[in-house]
Amino acid sequence: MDSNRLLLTCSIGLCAVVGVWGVIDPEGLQAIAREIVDQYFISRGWFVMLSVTIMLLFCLGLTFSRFGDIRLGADDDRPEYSTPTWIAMLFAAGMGVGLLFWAVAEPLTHFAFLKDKTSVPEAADFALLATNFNWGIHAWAIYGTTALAIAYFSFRRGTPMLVSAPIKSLFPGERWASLIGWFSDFMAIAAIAIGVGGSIAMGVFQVADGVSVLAGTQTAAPWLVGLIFIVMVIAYIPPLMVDLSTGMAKLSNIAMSLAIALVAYTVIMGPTEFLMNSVIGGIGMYIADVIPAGFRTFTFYGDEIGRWFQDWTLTYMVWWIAWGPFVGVFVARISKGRTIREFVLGVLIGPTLFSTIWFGAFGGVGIFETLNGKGELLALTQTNVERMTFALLDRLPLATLTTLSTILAAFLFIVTSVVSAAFVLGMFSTGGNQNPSTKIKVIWGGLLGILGAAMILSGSMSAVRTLIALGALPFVFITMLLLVCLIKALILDNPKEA
Amino acid sequence: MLIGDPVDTLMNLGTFAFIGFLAWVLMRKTPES
Repeated sequence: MDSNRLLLTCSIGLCAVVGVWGVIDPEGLQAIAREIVDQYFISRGWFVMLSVTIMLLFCLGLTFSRFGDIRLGADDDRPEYSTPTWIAMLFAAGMGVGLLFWAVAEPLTHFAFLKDKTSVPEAADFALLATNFNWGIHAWAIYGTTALAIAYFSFRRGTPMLVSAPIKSLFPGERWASLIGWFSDFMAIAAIAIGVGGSIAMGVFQVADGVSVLAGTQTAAPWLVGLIFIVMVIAYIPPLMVDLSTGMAKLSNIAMSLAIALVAYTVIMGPTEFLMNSVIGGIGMYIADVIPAGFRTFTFYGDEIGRWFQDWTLTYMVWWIAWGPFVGVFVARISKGRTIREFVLGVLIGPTLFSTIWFGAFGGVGIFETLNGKGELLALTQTNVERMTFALLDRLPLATLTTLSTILAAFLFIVTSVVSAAFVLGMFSTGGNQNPSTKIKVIWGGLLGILGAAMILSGSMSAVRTLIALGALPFVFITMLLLVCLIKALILDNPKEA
Repeated sequence: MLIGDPVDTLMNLGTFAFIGFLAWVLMRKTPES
């Protein structure tokens, strides 16, 4: 059996086992995943934080170095997409549905946790800071590093777009490099499949809750969740059968426009002055603390805070790492023709600015309701976190319209994610073939559906996040290896002129 | 006693070895160098 076929068989096999196990015994799967992830986080949380901080410093360092002028592509290539479209596309690929889901829920969950431990204003400040950190520039540094490595080797050295390409390109024919390369591709496939499966689950929970809010029921009935899942699978299978590269850009743009409209609407209709203060204050706190926060591990703060740090910040960081190969390949493909400097500044600053505005506004409105209203949103963080975004929209005018838009945006984010993930998985599992066959794409689409179903059956968001973290763990190491390969290739290919 | 958990220690030793491996990859001669 050649190594590509072995890779395809092993990776489909692993995903099928995890999927079927999750469907048959969701509690058992979650318990084992939880144990492995906990052990890893407790013993090596420092390494995760150090790695993501190194990735950020590396990206920033590149922009100021002589390597910043290198073009990702031939020297006369120019970007295919305008900068705003490019940023919208990478944002939709990189964060997508999670942003809708956690808009109010995350800042308020942090606030609920912190308000008993410190003063209320400090708790509010820190809740926003923690959320901005989890969704901020470190996440984009992870994506940026992975994408840069894949883009550089593919566009400057002519390798296939695979995670294994950098190590194989630097050490051709060496057995250890081939072995590590094979394992990296295998783990990339597993991490993407499990990550996107989790994303499907999250999107289905979100859409189901939106529909049940519209129907006026308290919680989303299991049959409704099942129905929405089936509709989603039916919606993403046909696009897998045709080439949709430009269509994908359009769908991402629509989803992003809906998200922008939603945040603008909330700021204008909500307590505008309070929210603008919250956004600006949040940006300021984030800028002041972004580098120290990347080194923070909360080791002296006791078990409760330590647990909170593991469940949120560490889980997010490995989550972004899990998405790294998928988003990395996608971002690499749409960034051809940009210089490394343009690339890094665009990838790091554009999306981070948007997410700080997003969480400043939505987190701000949640905190406003807690301080000045009845505190119902805060109570909801303990009982029905899935419903937070809709509960907020329900307190603003035109709730039906905004709820429908949110449902539509969530649906589009999921469909675009699954279609592009199936494409990237098809590419990875066939040795970097730029046009994987329809059959392979549909097989991956089906497996992603099974994994999504497994995560839905596991029943809770925390279970979904644990499983995603499990798939991502090896990737902390692989991404660092990519970074080292990129440094080595940059130095080898671009010697200092005497 | 201040002795740490053996599993944690082992996992960290593995991480140190990995950092060593990264340094080795960075320094190692390639066919091009």
